[in-house]
Amino acid sequence: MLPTNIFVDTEILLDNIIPERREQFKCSCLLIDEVSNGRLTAFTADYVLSEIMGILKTTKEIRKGTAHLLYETLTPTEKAAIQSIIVSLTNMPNLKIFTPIKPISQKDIYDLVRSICIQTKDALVLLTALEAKSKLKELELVTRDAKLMVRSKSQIASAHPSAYINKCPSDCLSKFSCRYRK
Amino acid sequence: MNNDMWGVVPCPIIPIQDRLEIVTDLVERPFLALSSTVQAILRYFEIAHRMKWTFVVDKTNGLLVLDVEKDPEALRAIRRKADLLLK
Repeated sequence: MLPTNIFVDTEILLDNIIPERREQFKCSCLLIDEVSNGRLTAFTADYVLSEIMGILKTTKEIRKGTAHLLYETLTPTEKAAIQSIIVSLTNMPNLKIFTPIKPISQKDIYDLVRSICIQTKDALVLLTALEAKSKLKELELVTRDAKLMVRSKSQIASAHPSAYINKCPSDCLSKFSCRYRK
Repeated sequence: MNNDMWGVVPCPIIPIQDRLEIVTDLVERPFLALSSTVQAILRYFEIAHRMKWTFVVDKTNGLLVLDVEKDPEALRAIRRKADLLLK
């Protein structure tokens, strides 16, 4: 039986936002649909919102055909649109932005990076998830990052979003490359 | 690393409108050496004292969560806004 409380990382939420990703990673969309309709409760870190914001900015830059677009060159409308998407994320039903009551130390991050060999930003997210887990009876980290999924298993239960759906959609664009396909 | 370098990452409560200025380092240089990435994360938290958001204790779970009004149409709105932004 899968937990009804999940902790989602940046990729899962981005898959729901960036148009091409919605076609490529349909399991993430189906998972967040389950959150939106109340069958699952999702938590994420406030830090994840900023990471999403940065990736939206980069994606917009790529759309404009430039490798690096200064913040100042974004139009007020584009800035407002990016911010509005993030605000809407915070408004999503059953998606809770969790913040640790106990501050996370650099040493915690450093130790976790060294012990399970994950990226620093992933360590921050995982440490946040671990604090949430300490308060909840059950909590599973849901990520598409195969390395994070495997390496975090010593700390917390982890799963690919496809674990939460009965069958992968036949029109998912990653159907030939996804090792977690059902 | 020297023990004196260990800092404490405060609870991240940064107003959305302040974030675009500081996210570039986090996104564009994800494979920096550990110490540099920690520095980038610390820069992210430098303005954490400008707290404008309210967190509340979630009654069901006892967790500190962002207190905002929920919108049943939010997910649809997110996708629609992203379509417009990234078309």
